[in-house]
Amino acid sequence: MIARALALTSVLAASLVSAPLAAQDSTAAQDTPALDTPAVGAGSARLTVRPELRARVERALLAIDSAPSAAFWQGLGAEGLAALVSVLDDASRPVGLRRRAALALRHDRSATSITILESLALRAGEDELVSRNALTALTERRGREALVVIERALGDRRAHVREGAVLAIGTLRERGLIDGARAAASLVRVRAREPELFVRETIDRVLAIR
Amino acid sequence: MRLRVAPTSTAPLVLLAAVTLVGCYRTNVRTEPDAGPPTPDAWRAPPPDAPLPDAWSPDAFVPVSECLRDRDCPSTGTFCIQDLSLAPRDLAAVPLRCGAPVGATTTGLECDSNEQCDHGMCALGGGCLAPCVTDDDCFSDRTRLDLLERCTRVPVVTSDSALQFANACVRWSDTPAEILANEPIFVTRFTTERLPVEPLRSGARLVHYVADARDDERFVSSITTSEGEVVFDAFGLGSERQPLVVAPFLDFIPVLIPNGDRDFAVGTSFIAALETSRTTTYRRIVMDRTTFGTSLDLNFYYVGVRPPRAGEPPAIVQRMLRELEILFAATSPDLRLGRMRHFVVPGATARRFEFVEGDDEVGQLFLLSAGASRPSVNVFLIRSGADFLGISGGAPGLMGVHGAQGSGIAIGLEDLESFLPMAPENQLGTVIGHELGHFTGLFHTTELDGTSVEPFADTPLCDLATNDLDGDGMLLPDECTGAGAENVMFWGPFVPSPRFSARQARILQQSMVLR
Repeated sequence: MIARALALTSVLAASLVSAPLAAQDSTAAQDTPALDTPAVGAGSARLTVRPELRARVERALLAIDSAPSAAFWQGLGAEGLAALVSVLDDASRPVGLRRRAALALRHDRSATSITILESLALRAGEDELVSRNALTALTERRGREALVVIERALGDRRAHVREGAVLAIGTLRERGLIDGARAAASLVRVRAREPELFVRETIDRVLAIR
Repeated sequence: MRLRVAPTSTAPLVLLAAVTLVGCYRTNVRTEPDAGPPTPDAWRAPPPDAPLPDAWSPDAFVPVSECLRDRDCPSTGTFCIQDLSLAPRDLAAVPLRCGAPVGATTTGLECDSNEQCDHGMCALGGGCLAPCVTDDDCFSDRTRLDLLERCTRVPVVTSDSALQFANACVRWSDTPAEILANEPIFVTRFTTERLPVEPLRSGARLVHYVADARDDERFVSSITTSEGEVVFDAFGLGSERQPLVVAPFLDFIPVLIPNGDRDFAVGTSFIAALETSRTTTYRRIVMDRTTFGTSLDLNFYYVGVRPPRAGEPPAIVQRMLRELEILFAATSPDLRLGRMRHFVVPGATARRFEFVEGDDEVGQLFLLSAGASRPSVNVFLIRSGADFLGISGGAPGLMGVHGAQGSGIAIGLEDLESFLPMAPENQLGTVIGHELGHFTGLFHTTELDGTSVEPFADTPLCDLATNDLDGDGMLLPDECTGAGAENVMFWGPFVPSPRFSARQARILQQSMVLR
């Protein structure tokens, strides 16, 4: 069963990861629940998600101004995660839905979702706000462990991803999870080469927070 | 049971309840050390000796100009005007110099360009401006409360790619002529104190407590009549529907009376118990209205989304307005859309706010409405909100006051547009109608987890115990069919042609923004 779970983890991650950006978490086998649903192949295999569950997940993502709780998402288990992944991996789905799915992954506790978030945050060609939300979710989930991805995001071609990375550093700094002086020095260097005024302003704002 | 908050009087749970109450709207749960009471003008007039790098921060603005207000210009017939000879510079302070009036339109009146205004400054929100340093530089004749002004930071469009900022005089409130508004009264330094609310002069009353500080938590925990009858209790856990609800938000506390099935006689007095996490200072603004309004004016701000062309809003906005008109027509034959104005946010400000993440960002976005010059609701059309399709500055929002953190609603237009192929008809109208409902004082009929603070007898509830068929703790629209999912104020969209109830329509039409 563990081998099967590991395989499923890899399959899920592979469905999104074009080039693995972080080592697979060694806790993946423990975090990923055993699943009886069969993996199906279509180029990249993934979990079968019941249509009614996927519809339910999509409706939950459509709240006007409410966000479903962490308990709701966690209650959906591995199949719920797979449903979110299937939304994210389906370019034909509305971009607004995919953006919300990326943010909802912050509530999933599995190592699989971390791999997926790392991939989404940096994937070239991805919608910039999907990546931005993935970065936000990853920072919330991983704290300073997300720093490798955050630092790479600082050099992303997409301005909103870079701004998200700046804010992520600000968040980690405010929480005392990273060295404030080093973070500030890093941001000053980033600012010097930042082409977008609004990102530079965000850097200034983060630097001003003590 | 409408609220799932244990009854208690202890402060931590009071604040927990505040967060619970506001639910899906906007909250500010940051806790800052008590730095003592702010000066009354702290949030309006920037401290000249404390430059901060954030161009959008009201506290960071330090203009360097030949003049800062008219009285810096001693020559007869000269004003402190925008120096239009200088090249626009995005996010910079509007450069000022002494000179003859630029245009013929005077401060506070509507404008479409800087050149129309006597001081050469037209706010992003379409009103002519005069520069200032403090409230003393603005109109202060207390016999004309409708014209009473404050000095605040206002965005000014200086080119297609530049938004600059000026300290300028704006009216304290912009309400329709039939609204009776009082002079903003200082209420200083209270924590968990009881403040009187004056006797009702009419059928509907809105009281705003506008904070001078933005960094504490605050909410109304109870309202009682002067005879001791409890008409609202945030911790009242009875099974009855709350007869009146209030909501706490960032820099203001709104109290709306009535906001439920219960009517109160003219002359009824109330005591509102306000809870704050620190000593702070408030202005109390009381608005009364005696008649139902019929016409709603909207100011649209385009933030990183397709702008109007040749004065015509983009097709998606035209469709939104058509659907909103349909919704209004189905709500009441007397309810209709009024005059629309459209403003494009340029430059780095658009880039920053086209994607909004978190309550502070939403509040900062709404500050851009400073200088809007008429009774209206500000509608910010952004690309995407991190966790919302639409959001209101409050329930109710800061009706009649532009340029504060609760002064409008925002719609994630790019996200919403992407959903349309999978949605039934009229969803654009539903989302903006839903947020306008919040802004005028309406709550969700039922929250997605089954809780509710909505008080009307004619809006069915969707009870978690009987309607959550799959037991996942969440009430989806298909589980609430016939139990409120058909209402505009249900938490989720994409129910075909939802409607307001008659009681909700009454709140809409009593709101302080309808003409």
